[in-house]
Amino acid sequence: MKLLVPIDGSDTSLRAVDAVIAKVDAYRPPVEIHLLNVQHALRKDVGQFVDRDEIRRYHQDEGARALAAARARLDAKGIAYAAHIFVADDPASVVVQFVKERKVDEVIMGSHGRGELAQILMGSVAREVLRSAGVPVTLVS
Amino acid sequence: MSEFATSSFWLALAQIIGVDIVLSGDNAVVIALAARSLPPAQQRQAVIWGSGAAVLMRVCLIIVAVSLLRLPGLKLVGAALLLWIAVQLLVPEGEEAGHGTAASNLGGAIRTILLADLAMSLDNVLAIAAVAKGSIVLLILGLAVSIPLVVFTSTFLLKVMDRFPIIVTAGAGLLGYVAGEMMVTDIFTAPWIQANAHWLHNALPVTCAVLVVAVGKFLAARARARHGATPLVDIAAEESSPREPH
Repeated sequence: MKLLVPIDGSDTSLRAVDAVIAKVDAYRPPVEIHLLNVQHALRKDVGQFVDRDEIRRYHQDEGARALAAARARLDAKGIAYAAHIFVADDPASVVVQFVKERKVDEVIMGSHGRGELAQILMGSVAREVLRSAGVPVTLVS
Repeated sequence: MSEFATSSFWLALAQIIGVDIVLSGDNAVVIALAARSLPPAQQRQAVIWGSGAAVLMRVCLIIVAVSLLRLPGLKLVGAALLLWIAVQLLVPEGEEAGHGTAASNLGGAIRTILLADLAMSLDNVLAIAAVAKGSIVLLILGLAVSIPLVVFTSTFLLKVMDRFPIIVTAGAGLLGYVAGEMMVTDIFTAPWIQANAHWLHNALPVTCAVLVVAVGKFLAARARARHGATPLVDIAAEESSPREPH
């Protein structure tokens, strides 16, 4: 089973990790876990003034920070995983593309990002993934 | 000062803070990133000197902008520019052209901050001048709000706007509204509108706001459809790779 857990660093995304940990033995082995973080692309103006490598390192640092807590939980349980960071404007489309390209079997993700207010204002990533992923999506609240 | 008592003053102040927020994010992130490769002690210096010079530059630019906007016809030009800026806010434009070069020393970082601020504060300055409508108090307050936003927020504004895209949409609509207000007060158009189409005073700003959001959303959807097939580049794998030489 190939599992994808999109991580935005929020508490709900961590609960998705907990859910995977809790039922990892229930999945058909070999279980392959992918953590995925999407960093929002900076605007072109910024690229005109800041070195490309600098921007990439910035995204890497921010992505690593968002992934840190999720990685720590999996590390603590000794569960192997792969962590990915992508830069894009639209997180949902990255998740969907990853599912299709890597032939992911199931997506486990938080039902919403940081807080109830965010849920109303954000335009839900979860909803878009649910609509377009084409594989089972487990939402954790 | 009696100016503070009117509701239009507070409305204008709210507008200025709004445009400052949406237009300062990029600028702040450049300052933060330009200094990142320096040793920590120099980082602070780069930000202080770069920002200090940027403040001076903004004050000069806004004086120029205000005097230019008094000339007949130039408010129309300014309004057109603002409309363009507003639409651009809504369109994702694929980052990382990577033209910029890494600043290896303090001077380089300060130069980057200055050049970036010269280019990126123009939209902000124009918007402040447009909202202030000649009020010196509003101009000063507009600058007073925008400068700390640029200097101290670093990547915070950008993150907030990533999480709440509605802020960007509202900001773009606000810029459209301000552009519409500018159109109806230009020396060329004002007398005609006053005489023949007074209703345009309210209708044009609202129309511009709606139009900006509609056009921006349309272009964004089109851009997204076109970029749909771009390959995913995983940057986590390169985390420990050495820097490319220049």
